[in-house]
Amino acid sequence: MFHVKQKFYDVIILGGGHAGVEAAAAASKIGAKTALITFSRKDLGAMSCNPAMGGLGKGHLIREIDALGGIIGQASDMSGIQFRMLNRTKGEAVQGPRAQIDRNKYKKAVSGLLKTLTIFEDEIEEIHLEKNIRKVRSVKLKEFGNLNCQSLIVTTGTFLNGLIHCGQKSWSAGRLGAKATTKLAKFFIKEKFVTRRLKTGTPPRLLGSSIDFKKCIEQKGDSHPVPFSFLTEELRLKQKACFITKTNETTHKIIRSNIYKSPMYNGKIKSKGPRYCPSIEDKVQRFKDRISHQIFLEPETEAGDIIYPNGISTAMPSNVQKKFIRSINGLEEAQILKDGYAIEYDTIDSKELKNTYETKKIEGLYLAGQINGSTGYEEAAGQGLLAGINAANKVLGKKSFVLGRSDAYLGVLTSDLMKGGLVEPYRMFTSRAEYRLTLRADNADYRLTDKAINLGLACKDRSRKWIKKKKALAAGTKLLRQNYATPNKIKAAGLDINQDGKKRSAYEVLGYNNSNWQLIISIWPQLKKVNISEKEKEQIRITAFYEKYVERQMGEIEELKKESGLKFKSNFNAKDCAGLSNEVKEILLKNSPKTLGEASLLPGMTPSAASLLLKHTKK
Amino acid sequence: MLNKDKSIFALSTPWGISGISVIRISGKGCCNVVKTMCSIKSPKPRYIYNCNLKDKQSNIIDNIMAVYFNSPKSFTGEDMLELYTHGSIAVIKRVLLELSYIPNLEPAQPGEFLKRAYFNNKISLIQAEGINHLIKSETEKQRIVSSNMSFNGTISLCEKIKEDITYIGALVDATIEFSEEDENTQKSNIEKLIYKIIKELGSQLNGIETTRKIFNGLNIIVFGPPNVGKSSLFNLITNSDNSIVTSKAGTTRDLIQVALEVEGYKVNFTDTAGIRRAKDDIELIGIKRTTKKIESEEKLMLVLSPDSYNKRNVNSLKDLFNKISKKEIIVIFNKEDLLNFKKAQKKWFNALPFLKKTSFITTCCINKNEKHKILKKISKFVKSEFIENERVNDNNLFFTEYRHEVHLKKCLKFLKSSYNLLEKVELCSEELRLALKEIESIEGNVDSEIKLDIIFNKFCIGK
Ligand SMILES: Cc1cc2nc3c(=O)[nH]c(=O)nc-3n(C[C@H](O)[C@H](O)[C@H](O)COP(=O)(O)OP(=O)(O)OC[C@H]3O[C@@H](n4cnc5c(N)ncnc54)[C@H](O)[C@@H]3O)c2cc1C
Ligand SMILES: Nc1nc2c(ncn2[C@@H]2O[C@H](COP(=O)(O)OP(=O)(O)O)[C@@H](O)[C@H]2O)c(=O)[nH]1
Ligand SMILES: [Mg+2]
Repeated sequence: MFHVKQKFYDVIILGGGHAGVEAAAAASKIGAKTALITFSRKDLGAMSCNPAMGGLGKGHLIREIDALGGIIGQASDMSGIQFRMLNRTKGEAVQGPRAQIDRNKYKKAVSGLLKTLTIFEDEIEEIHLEKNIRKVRSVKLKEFGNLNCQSLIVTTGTFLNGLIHCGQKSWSAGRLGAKATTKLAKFFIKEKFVTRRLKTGTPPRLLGSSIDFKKCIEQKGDSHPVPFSFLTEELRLKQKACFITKTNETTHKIIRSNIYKSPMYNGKIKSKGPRYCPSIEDKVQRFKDRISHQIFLEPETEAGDIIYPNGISTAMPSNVQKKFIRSINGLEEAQILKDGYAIEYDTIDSKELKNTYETKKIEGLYLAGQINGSTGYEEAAGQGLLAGINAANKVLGKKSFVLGRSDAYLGVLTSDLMKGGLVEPYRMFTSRAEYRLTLRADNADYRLTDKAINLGLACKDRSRKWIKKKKALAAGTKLLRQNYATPNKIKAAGLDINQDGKKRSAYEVLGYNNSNWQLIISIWPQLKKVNISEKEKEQIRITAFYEKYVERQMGEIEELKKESGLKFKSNFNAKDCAGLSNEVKEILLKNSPKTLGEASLLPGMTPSAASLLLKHTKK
Repeated sequence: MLNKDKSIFALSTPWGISGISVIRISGKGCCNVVKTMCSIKSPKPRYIYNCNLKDKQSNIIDNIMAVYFNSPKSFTGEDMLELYTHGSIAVIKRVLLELSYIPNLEPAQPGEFLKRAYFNNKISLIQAEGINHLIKSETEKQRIVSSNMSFNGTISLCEKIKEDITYIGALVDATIEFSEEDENTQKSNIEKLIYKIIKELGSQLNGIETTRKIFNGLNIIVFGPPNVGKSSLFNLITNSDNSIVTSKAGTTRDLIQVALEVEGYKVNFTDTAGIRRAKDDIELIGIKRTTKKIESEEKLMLVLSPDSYNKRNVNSLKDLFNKISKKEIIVIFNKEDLLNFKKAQKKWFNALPFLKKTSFITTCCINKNEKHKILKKISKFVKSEFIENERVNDNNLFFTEYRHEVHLKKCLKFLKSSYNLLEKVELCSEELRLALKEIESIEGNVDSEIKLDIIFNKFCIGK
């Protein structure tokens, strides 16, 4: 594709990682004139770490991004080589779709989905502001020179002042084989952004043919793989197996006796890594009584030539890595293709952000992805999408788009990040969502696709499919609600229910624990003829099952909204508000919120500060 | 609800003659008072001044002591002033009047000092409730419960329960988030932990019954035939002559109630009209009230005497006992000084066989010198029969309000369903989340305005 490179853009995106590509896709779909600048086209959709998408919380995020018209879901479906629904035996609310991804095919898929996007293979070295106002004016590219823009979305990922560590060695890099972003870092220092250094790590990669898989336990994908995207009809790639092996006491001994060589333990790395994704050094040192740790051997490609050993991220020197790897069952002959390493990088404290991902300090400057202290492709993609929507909407004079904690995991992500002060990389978990039973992966379209249509993010195919599905669900639900039976009759069909003489609707009965459509039809044969697909039927069943809980949560949300609507007295002055930290007082004074809701959305507000304020609305 | 621009004042000690009286002022107006009435230009905080208190015309009202506290280092968190005047009604009246002349200074509403302390985050809602109880406490047991609430006991317990629930929630969620890992949390462990909190909450809920009795008092009804010496005993116990004593049957007609402390407990004794066929309308009403009262209360003290043994009285009592059931009854045989005492006592036993199963003591009310001894005997009797089974030694009492009970019950409900939903982890976790919210409600962070109003209106003025 050839694009005439112009000098003026509505929205420019710095970085072609997972945040960058979603931001670019969203902004251009909404109608902003968009350009994406990244070191190399090969960056598009590059997965720096493990070859997998989704999981618990993360799978929810992918479904939501997809429901809002994002690309991560479709790209994953096009490149997935093993799909598994996690927690399949548990309730749908905590089931998370996950897939092993062929790295190269993922990049191809992303590039394909961004065919029409203007892309510069270049490095942004400087950001320039308007003369007298603190607003973004242009960026300076190393090769191409200046580009003007109204909004700039910065998604540097792990690149900002990135520093790789492997044993005693350390060198400047954005990730293995890519140079770090150093010039840009000066901008954030000059503008006095609060920065924080975080750390993450990755395991060595192994040559597939050098592993004895016979010694490992095979783990197959689902027999009926479920795609991420609501648009995907069919998964095309051959499904591959993963294998499980584990470390042993010899492995641990090797690690322990070399522990002083690990930069995390000899004082070279001081920054915090994610607690939930510890290096093998950490695992061995911190859980001394464990005699082994599980390792998943995951294929990085459909061909299976490269294997990612999930669970042994390390920054040990090369020779120690080789030694401990070869002590593991099945890996005795393993060849290391690339060493594992740790990387330290700069993040910007996310309390610098408004809930639109725009910085408070500089108009038109947005930050998204790992630069905000998060970790993970899905978390980055979600922020990219939201920043892209807001940057474009602002340029086009449209309303900002903010999701709340009760709307989506994307809302939870936003509101958690906006609290600022992250001390370790932020990863999504279902436990972070208080409305977990409402925010399910299965109903992401129900929650968000109408919004996508209004925002102009849903393609024709998506709108058509969703509207059809919505109609089918409504019709099916209505029919179920119109049919009643006595408890006697229901019990006769095999459901043990309270014989209180109260008639139940088919919808109610479908929502009972252990209920299903077959049972419903045995009670109400007339429902056999309902004209909806099996998938839609299952969706109605899940909705019916959680309905009682969702209703209760809705009540709670309503109450919260009511509280959010509480107004501060006209003479309310944050300064007089005892118990608030000076920082929160300052935030309140600067923004002078009218209601408690507005106040609690302000970045930097803590829940305890919000509950103190609640008192003051009541005075 | 609260107006920051207004300062408030109130008398903090009882209205009446006493050594000293304390008048408290809270709000920005304190400086004004110090300047105009105490003639102190810029008061040093937390320093005791001795000064003359002057009225508008600069006449000296009283020579007083005054302490100024600067915001936020005061009880209410605002500027505060405490004036120690002589405890004279006239002085108090004058000072309060003078204060009301000062602009933006107003008499405090009931509970307003506590309310300001709460809104300024000096105390929690529970503490406010506790201090309110503490102020009103009369008995040792009341004081203990109130201290628990005022000085962190209840809050620590809430925090502990919250911590426990959060911990269990984390265990449950771990099985959700990390199901792929080979770490396994034991279900039986979770089960045990939930059960432990359920038990704790159950015991706290029972405890509310006890605290209620501690604050409202145990009700003991003194009843029996006319002229057995009920009123005499009542006066003796309550150390008063509240009840009229005559040799005429049918003297007592109203229910007379007196509260007193027995063994640290508040006990309400009620003297009643003797049970018999009434001679006039007023006595009839009195007897009806007695019967009703007996029916509604649990703890009864039956008084009998030798000279009251006759068919009519026996039948009246039999009628009464047929109507009431399941009461705790103790018996006092009075007038043991009378000659035929032992014989009559036997007759009573034979006439009313259930008496054999009740505990009894014998007394004599007429010897004024023995008064102290009898009082002790009765106290001991009441204690062993009525109080000792009321968790007397339970210092594990932390909740008093209806509000607490509601949230504890809800919390218990959610915990129980979480227990039953262990197989459905995500639902189990949801129930735990809601249980946690209930405890947070007790701590008073998320209460609605109406609830707050009710809570604060119950508080007394000037404290
Ligand atoms: C070693 C390592 C280990 C990791 N481990 C984990 C893990 O265990 N679990 C997990 O969830 N996640 C892990 N990740 C994180 C995951 O890769 C990131 O969270 C995710 O890729 C972040 O997406 P992003 O869009 O924010 O940034 P990235 O994907 O890092 O993309 C940044 C992009 O910006 C471009 N860029 C940077 N500076 C400039 C500039 N000045 N001009 C132009 N372009 C620029 C880069 O070329 C790159 O394309 C790891 C990452 C690394 C490197
Ligand atoms: N001999 C004797 N007389 C008593 C005793 N106690 C009370 N009395 C008298 O019994 C009469 C009735 O007493 P009262 O207290 O009014 O009885 P009530 O009608 O049961 O309330 C009064 O004259 C009392 O002085 C006692 O122990 N011995
Ligand atoms: Mg009497």
